[in-house]
Amino acid sequence: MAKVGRKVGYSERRANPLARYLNILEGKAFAWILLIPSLLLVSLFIIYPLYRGISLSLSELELLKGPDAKFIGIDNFRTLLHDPAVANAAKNTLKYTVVGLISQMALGMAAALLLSRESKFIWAARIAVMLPWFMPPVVTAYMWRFMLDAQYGIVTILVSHIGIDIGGQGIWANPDKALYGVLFVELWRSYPFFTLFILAGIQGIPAELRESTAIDGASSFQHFRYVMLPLLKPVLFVSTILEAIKLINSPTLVLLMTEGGPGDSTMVVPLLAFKKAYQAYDFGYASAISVAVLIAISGFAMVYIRSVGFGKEK
Amino acid sequence: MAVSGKSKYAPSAIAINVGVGLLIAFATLPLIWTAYTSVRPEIEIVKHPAGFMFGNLGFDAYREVWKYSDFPHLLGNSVVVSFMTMIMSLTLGTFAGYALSRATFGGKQGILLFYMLVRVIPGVLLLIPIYILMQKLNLLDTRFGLALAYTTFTLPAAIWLMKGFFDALPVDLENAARIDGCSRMGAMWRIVLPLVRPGMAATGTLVAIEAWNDVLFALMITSSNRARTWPVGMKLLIGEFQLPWAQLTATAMMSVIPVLIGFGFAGRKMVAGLTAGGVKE
Repeated sequence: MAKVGRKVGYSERRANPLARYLNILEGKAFAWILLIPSLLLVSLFIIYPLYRGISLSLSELELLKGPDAKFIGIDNFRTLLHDPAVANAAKNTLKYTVVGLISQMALGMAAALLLSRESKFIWAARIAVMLPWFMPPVVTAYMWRFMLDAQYGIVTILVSHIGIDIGGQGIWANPDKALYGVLFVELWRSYPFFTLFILAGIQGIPAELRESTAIDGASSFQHFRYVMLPLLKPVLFVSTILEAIKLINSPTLVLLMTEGGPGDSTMVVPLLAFKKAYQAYDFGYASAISVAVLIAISGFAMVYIRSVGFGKEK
Repeated sequence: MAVSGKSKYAPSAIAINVGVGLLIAFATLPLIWTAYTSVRPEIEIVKHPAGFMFGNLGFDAYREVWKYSDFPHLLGNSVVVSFMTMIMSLTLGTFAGYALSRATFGGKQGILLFYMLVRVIPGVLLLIPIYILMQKLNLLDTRFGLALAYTTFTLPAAIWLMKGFFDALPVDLENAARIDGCSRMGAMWRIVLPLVRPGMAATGTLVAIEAWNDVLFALMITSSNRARTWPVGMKLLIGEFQLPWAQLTATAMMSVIPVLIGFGFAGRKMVAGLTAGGVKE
């Protein structure tokens, strides 16, 4: 039987059993009244669409041909397995996610260590560093497209002075470089997410720990490697998984910066699904691709959780 | 509470300050350069891409964009949609967050986990059925429809954040109020909500920024300037015309200024709230 626990006040504990029981019931009802509106909304716009999305993935529905969905079983998935466009997008998504995660985690960790030092105005520095994370992706995308422009981009010009030549066609027209260009912008925009999480983790570690390891003669690096890192493991675990999901799921930056081009050198899986839906109105096939992404993410999450051994320690 | 007992002027402290300085520069210089470009004359930008001088600066590019982009209307849509999303997410998120923070009942952990999992589902997968659903509800290409779609995505985060802020408040406050004869609703309304107002401001700003920034849903759900938001308008504008650099950077600045205002207003609280939420993971 559920109980209201912390909510039972001092006076209520002495009241007669019936009144106490009614009070528990009332507390429970109150909680549900507060919860139901949000649960309803989320059910209508997430549970139902999720069900619809999965059923669409098993149907043929192209709005340009007609408004009715026809059940075709797993045909969409069969097509998908032999679709070279999907294979190419999957390869790009893998590259985007792995390189994105490693670069963001490294810079995010370094920034968190730098910002964890307490001083009077450190909060201002923390806010300034977080800023890119809150910027509209449209602005981020076009701002960097401009700054990395082959001819007029300030960054292109500056790095040419230190001997790095991006080349006449620049980053955005070069199929070998475009994806890394977007990855760089993704790093700029998203590493603060890791910083935020790791910083929160570091602030949860008692300061006395460093004092005692210092007495034992541990260097800063040893303290970091053998004391902080193990303590930060849960935070790193959660932030990695959340960011991986975001990198796999969200095509926003690629959509805005390259639209998958040049050619299909930066085409990622969700963008392919989005284009199939938005431009070709092929809702059935687009849903199948999205369901495949969901399955891949769930698989990835399970393997990751197993390999990290999360939960075993508890 | 310095992490190490070293003096402020030790070499490592200087290295740390230089590192922090580099981080701040990395975050802010691109924005500053964009702002600078937006007020330069176009000829200057093309002739001296890396030039730096303060003559001839002006707001011509802004005027041009304002004239032919229907900017005031699209900006209005963005404001209205973000505001509606904020009100809905905050109202529902505060109620649900309070219930999940205070009461214990079977299934509470399940609900919390469920709200977490909602964010795992690819947006593209939900986008198509939501499009069809909006069509049936006659909400396609309306600001309210767009705000509803955003709310479902921002609500889980709002609930988690608000629960964190409520958790930080001692329960004794409500118990005292209850003993004094306050109803449950009254205790929440009169005692708890006023105390959690800074948390609500932070959560509301975060939610509004998320709605303000979105492109994907707005691109799909809107089909005309009736409900189209500014980021989408900007994407279409840039895709349609080869915008001169000054105008391109000016449009960028026009959509970042409201975010900067919101961030300056609630940024400190927001970062604090997010880090507090992170600890509880």
